[in-house]
Amino acid sequence: MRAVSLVDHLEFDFNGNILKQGLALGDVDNDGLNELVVGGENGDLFVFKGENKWVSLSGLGFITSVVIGDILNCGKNSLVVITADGWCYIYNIYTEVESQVDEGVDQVDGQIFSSESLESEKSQSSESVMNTPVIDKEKVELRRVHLQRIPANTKDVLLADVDGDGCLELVIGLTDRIVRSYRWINATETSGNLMCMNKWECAKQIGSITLHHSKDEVPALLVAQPGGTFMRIICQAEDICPSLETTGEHSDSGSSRTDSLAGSKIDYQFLGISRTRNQNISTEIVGNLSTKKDERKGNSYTVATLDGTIMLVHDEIILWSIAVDHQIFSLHKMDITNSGSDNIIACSWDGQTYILDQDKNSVRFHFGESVQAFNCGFYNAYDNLNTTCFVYVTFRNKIYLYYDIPLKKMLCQKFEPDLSKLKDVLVDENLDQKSKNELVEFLLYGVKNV
Amino acid sequence: MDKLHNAHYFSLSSQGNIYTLANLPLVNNTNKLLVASLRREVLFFEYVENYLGALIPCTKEVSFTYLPNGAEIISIDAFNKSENTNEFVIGITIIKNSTDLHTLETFLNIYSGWEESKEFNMESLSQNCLNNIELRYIPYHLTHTYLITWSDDEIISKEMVFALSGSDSKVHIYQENKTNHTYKEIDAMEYFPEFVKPSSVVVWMDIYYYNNYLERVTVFGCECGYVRLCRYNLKLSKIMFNFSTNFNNTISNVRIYLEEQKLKQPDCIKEEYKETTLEYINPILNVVVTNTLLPPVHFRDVLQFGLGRYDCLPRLDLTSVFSSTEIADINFDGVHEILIGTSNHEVIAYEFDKSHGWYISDVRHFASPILGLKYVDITGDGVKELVVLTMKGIIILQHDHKSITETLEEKLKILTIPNIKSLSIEN
Repeated sequence: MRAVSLVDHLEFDFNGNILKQGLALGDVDNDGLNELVVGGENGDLFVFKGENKWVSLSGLGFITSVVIGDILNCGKNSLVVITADGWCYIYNIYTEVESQVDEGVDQVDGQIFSSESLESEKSQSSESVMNTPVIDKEKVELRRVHLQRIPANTKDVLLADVDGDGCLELVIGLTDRIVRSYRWINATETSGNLMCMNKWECAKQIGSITLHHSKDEVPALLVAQPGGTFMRIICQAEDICPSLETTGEHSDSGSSRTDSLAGSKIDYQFLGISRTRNQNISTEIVGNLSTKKDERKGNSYTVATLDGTIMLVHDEIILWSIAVDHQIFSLHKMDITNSGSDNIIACSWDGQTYILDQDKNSVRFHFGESVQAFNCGFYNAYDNLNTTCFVYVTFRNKIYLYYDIPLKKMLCQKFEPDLSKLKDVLVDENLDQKSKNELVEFLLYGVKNV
Repeated sequence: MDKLHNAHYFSLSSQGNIYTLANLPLVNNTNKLLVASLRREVLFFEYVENYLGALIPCTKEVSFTYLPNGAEIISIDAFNKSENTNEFVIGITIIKNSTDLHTLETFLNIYSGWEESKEFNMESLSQNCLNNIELRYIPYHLTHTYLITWSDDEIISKEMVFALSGSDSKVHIYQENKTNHTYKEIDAMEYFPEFVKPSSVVVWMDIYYYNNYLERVTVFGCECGYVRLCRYNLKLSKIMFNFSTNFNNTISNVRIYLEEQKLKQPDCIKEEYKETTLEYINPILNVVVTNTLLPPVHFRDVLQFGLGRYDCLPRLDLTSVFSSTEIADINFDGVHEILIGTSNHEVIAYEFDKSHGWYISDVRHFASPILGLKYVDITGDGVKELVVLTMKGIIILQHDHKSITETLEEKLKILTIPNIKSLSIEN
C-alpha cells in the first residue's frame, strides 16, 4: 500500500483525556476560517485558532461531545458542548474591539449547575459574563447563550437536517442505546429552547450516527450497530416513500423491518456478509459520500468495524471492502485531494491512518503514537486559508494537527509524454518505452535553457 | 521543491547511516533501491506497474545469507558489472557484535548473480554469496570504481572494483579474481596511489574518470577534516597534481561532478535537431565538499585551478549537521543544483547565480533527520525521482506531471527554434 510521510504540523498542549467526539473542526467565530475546539474529560474547553490557543473555559464537567454548527438556525455557527452528566451548553464567540467597563462576574460554569435542579434550563445569556475590563484592543470570549438539561450519557452527536425541513437538528446518541433528536425553538427574540422531537431505541450499543441521503434524496439517520450492521431511521413527517417500503420487505435478504414511531420509519440492515463475523464488534458509519461520477445514482456510505474492515456501500450493496490488521476506531469523510469526490479516512488506535478513495485506491499514513481521538477536516493554520488537516489526540497530553496534507493524487503513475506535441522533432511517432524514456530524459536533462 | 510530490514512504525498523542507501541501475535505465539498516534488515524497493497503469510500490525484506544474528550493517553498495544485461554485484559490510570488545569481527560480504533473462531476481542474488572477507579493521565507506589498465595506447582491461575505507586510515581495493569468482584485496598503492596515507579515517571518497579513461580525479575527505584532490594519469601511471587542505571538522561527503552534463541524443530525434556533441578534452569538473559543522564548500573547475577557486555555500541555520549531498537538476533549467540534506530535517537546494554566487533556492522539510539523497529514475519513465533516506524511513518524491509536460514544451521550443548565435550571416 502506498504511504506518505507528513511533515507540517502544529502541536498543542492539552491535559487530560478526550473522548472520541470531544474535538471538532469548524468556524466558531464566523469569520470563514476554521478553528479547532477540544473539550476534555476534566471540564476544560479550548479553542485553537491558527498556531495558538485562543479561548478557553474550564469547569464544565465531563465533556463528552463538542460540535460546531448553526444549531440556532440563525445563519451563524455556535458551539455546542455536551457533558456526560447531561448538560448541553451553547456558546457563541464574541470579539470586542473596544474595552468596556463592566462589573466582573465570575465565569464559572458546569460544576455548580450540575448540582442544581432543572430550573437552570431557563438560565439564559443574561447570566453569561464579561470579564473584567482590560485595555485590550481585541477581547475574545466564549459567551454562553443557552444551557439546558438533557438526559445523561451522551456518546455521539450529530448536527444535521434529519427531517428535510431545511433546519438543523441536534441528534444525540446515548450510551443506553437511545437516539434523540432536538430542535431549537425560539420562544422570544433572545431566548429559546431545545425541544425533543423524537426518541428511538436501538437494539444494541450505538457506534456512531450519520446522516445519509439515499437516491431519492430522503434524509435518513444511520445508526451504527455492533457487527457491521446499522439501523436506519427515516423521520420524515408524513409520507413514507414507496421505495423504502420495498426494501423493508426484503427481510431475508439482509434487512429486517422493525419500524414504528409515528412520523418515522426504522429498519435494520445487516449488509449480507456481516452474519459470519463477530456480532459484537463495534462499528462506525459515515454517510453521504459525494462522488463526481454519475454512473451510480445517489450517494454511498462507508462502514468500518473495529476488527479492521472498511467497506463502501451503495444502496445496501457492498461495493468493496478491505481488511487491514489495525483496529479502526474512527471513520470520517473529506475531499482530501480536491477531486470533487469524498475520500474515506479511517484511523486506528495505534495511529495508522488510511486514506481511501471510492475506487479502493489507498494511501496510508502512520502517526507514530497511540491515538485516543482523531478528527479530520479543514483548519486555518497560516495565511487565512483553510487547508486539509488531520488532528490526533495522543495519550501524552499533546494534540498534533497536521495541516496542508500534501496528497494531490491517490494514484502514482509513470509520466507519459504527449507524443503528438513532440512529433516535430521525432523521426517516428511510435516509440517503445525505452526510446520514450530516452527522449524524456534528453529533453528534461540534456537541453539547456537559453 | 514544491513540484515534487510525495509518492511513497516506507519506514525502517532501525536506523541507517550515510552509507546504507544503494541503487541498482538496471540496463533499461531504471533503478531499484536497496536500503540497509543497522539491525540487519535490508529492504528492496521497486515500483511495479499494474494492468491499469498505476505504480504499485513494493517493499520486500531481503534475507541475505551470511548475515549472522546480531550482526550490524555498516555500509552497502551495488553495481552492474555488465553493460547490456543485469549482472549485479552487491557488497555489504557488517560488524559482528560480540560481548568481548577485543574480538570484534568485521566482514565484507559480496553477492553476485547473473540472470539469463531480463527479469531481475533479488532472491537468488541474495542467496549467492561469492565470499565473505574477514576484515582487520572497521569498515566505513564502501563504493565502487573502475580499474583501468593501459598498455601503450590501448585499454587492455576495464573492470569494477570495490573500494572500502577503514578504521586503519587506509583505503582497500577488492578485485574479482576471474578464475575462481572470488574477490581479493589488491595493493591499493599500486593501482590507486592517490590514497597513500590519509591523515585519518576516510569518511567519503569519489573517483571520476574522463578523457576516455585516460585520466581520473580522486577526492576524499577524512574524519579530521583533511581533503585531498588528485589528478592521476593512467597511461603514465603518474599523479599529475596533488592538492590538500584541512577543514578541521569531519567531512561527511565529497562529490565530483561535471559542470555541464551532455546526454546522448536519442535515436528517435530527427537528424536536423541533433547537435554535434563535442567530447571535452578537459571537462570542467567541480567538487563539493560537505562538512558536518562548517558550511559546504564548492570548488570550481578543479582540473584547471585545483582547490584555488572556492565558494562557501550559505548556511540556513547555525546548528544543523550536513550529512549528504546530491547533484541534481531538479528544476530542469540545464544547470545542476546542489542538494544538501541536514540533521535539521531539511533538504536545501543551492543554485548558482553570476551576480549573487551560490544562494539557497529552495528548502524542503522532512519528518526526521536526513542521512542520504539520491536522484535516480525508479519509476522507469525517464524522469528522475528524489529518494531521501531519513532516520526513520525512505521518502520518494516524484515530479509533478503537469509541470513536466510544460517543461517538455519549453524544451521543445528551445530545440526547434534555431540558436541565433550559431546562424552565420553571409557578408
